[in-house]
Order: sequence, then structure tokens, then C-alpha cells
Amino acid sequence: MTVKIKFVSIISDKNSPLFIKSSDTIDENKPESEIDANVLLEQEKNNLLKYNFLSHISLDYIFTQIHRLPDPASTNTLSNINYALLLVHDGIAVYGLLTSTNTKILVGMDAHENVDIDLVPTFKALQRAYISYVCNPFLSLDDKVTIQSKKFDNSVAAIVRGWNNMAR
Amino acid sequence: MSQKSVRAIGEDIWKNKVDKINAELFTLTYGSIVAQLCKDYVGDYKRVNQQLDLMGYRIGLRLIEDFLARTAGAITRCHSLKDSAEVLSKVAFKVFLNITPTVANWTADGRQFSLIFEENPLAEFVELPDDGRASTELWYSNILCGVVRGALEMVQMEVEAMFISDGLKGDEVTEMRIKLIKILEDEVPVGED
Repeated sequence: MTVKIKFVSIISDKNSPLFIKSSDTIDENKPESEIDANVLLEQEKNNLLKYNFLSHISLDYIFTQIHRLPDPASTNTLSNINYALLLVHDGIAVYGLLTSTNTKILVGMDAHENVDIDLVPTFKALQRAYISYVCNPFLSLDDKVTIQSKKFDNSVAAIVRGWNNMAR
Repeated sequence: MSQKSVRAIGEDIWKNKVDKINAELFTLTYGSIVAQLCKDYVGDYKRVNQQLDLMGYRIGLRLIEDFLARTAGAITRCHSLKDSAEVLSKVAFKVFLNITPTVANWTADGRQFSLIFEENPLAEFVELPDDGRASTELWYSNILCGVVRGALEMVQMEVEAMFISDGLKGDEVTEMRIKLIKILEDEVPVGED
């Protein structure tokens, strides 16, 4: 049973969405027939909207959930980032990470019972991709601006693809 | 000086005699200089390039003193442009930036060569702005050209240094072309045998 990442989203500290990417746009195994193209586009748009809503719902849960987590320094010294399962809705489980700068990284995946998933390396990789995006000196730090960088897009796509291709 | 020993000298000085600073601090500082210049000159990237070259030139004039002091006793006087190129790439760049660009593409008369940079610490995390002109006109690391020009001028070589390709622009390699214009004093005949 494979648990695939469905979407990744990044929300700024002022709760404005910076980046939402659904894995449907990353999946390369779609058929190329013309008839399917329009149907796919509709599906993609619907999914994106759904993931948008899920991200917003998750925001409410972030502060309550993550503040309840134990202090990382005292428990598990290997994982120094804390992520938590925020909510499960419509078959999708959303995990979130709150950074010290109040930036939120959300990952949504298929919800399955009794699955032990370690998302620490994934969250670390996403955080590193976000950091290298932020360090661009030509970036204007206006937080209404969504993330337009192709490089960031590609790195997130690579991270998601890497996870989805691993047999679980 | 054999190639291998020049490289070893560079490594040795880097390891033992050089104070180091955090790479991200350096990259972000240089990045903010370039970004500010771009803002100040409102997108006139040719002037930004010129200004970076000028800043580098002034840095080079001073940096050569520091370089000669650090390498005193370790390297001997260069007798040809080829020697200078080796020292420049394997000792100078190594000591100041911890990179060793490859020396290549010599012309037949031995008066021009290229430095090919596999990695460029100045350009980590950088993405050129998307306004169409930056990716054709801006040489992001142009300060390095100025540094090379200024430093070599203080050791009696007048050179012209410019980038001819840059990884940030989408090219495959980052390459700086250095041309010897003339030797500034006649004391030691160099490079034209």
C-alpha cells in the first residue's frame, strides 16, 4: 500500500498562501489523448481548490497541535524539527510544520490507519528548498507575493517525486 | 614551480594561515550589494557591471598586498603569464574564496587565457530577476574581474578581465577571460618568449 503525497503548501507568517503545489501536476503518467485533457484540467483545478481549503482548515489546528508537542531537545535528539498530524479530511491527512519564523509548511497525503510514516527528512528537504529560495538577494520580501521561482518549484517537485517513487 | 606544488602551497595556506567567515554571511552580503546596485541604477545593468568592476578594482589594489604577505617565502616570482595564471587560480582564489578555477583556453601567443569556475560561492541561492534584461546583461560576479585587474596591475601587469559566460544566466560554465594588455615596467621580461 503506497501512501503518496498529494500536495505541499507553504503559508507565510501572516497566514497568506505563498505556494501550493498538488502532486497531480507532478505525476508524469497521464495519458496524452485529447479527450482526456479537458477532464484532467478540471480535475486538477478541483483538486487545487480542495487542497487550498484543506490548507486553510489546517491553519486553525496548527497552533493548538504544535504547541502541545514535547520539547524536541528533551525527547528525540535526532529529529530537531517537530511536525504533527493536523487533520484528516476526505481521505487526506495533513501534516504540518511550524518554523520559528511562523512560516508553515503543510504536506497532505493519503490517509491510512496504522501507518507509521517518518516525514522528518521530507520536511527538512522542503525547509531547505524554502531557505534557498528566501536567500535569493533579488527577492522582494513582500508577503503578499506568491512564490514564482521555477527553481523552487522544481525542487519541491523532485522531493515529492522522490517520496512517491519509494515503495512503501 | 610545478603544478602540483602550487596547488599544495595554496591548500596549505588556506588550511593554516587564513581566518574564515561563514559562507552564507558572505554570500548574502555580496547579494545585497548587487541587489542594491540594481535598485539604485534602476535596471541599467551595464552601469551595475561597471560599478562592480570598479569596486573590485579598488579591492584588488589592496588585496594584492595581503596576498603577497601571506605567500611570502612560499611562492617565487612568476616568470611568465602561465606562471601567473597558475598562482592566480591555485593560490589566490584558493586562499580568498576556497575555490580553484581551472586555467584553460590559452591563445597561441600565450597572452590570453580563461578561468573556468566549477563553483562560485558568490552566487549561491541566487536567481537573476525575471525582467528579461538581467539574464542577458548582468554579470553577477563582475566584482571578481575588477579584483583580478586591480591585483595584477600592482604587480606590473595590465590586463583586461571579463566574464564571457555565467552559470546564473543558464550557460553551462562560468568563464572569465583574461587578456594581457602590456607589462607595465621593463625590469623583468615576461611572457613573450
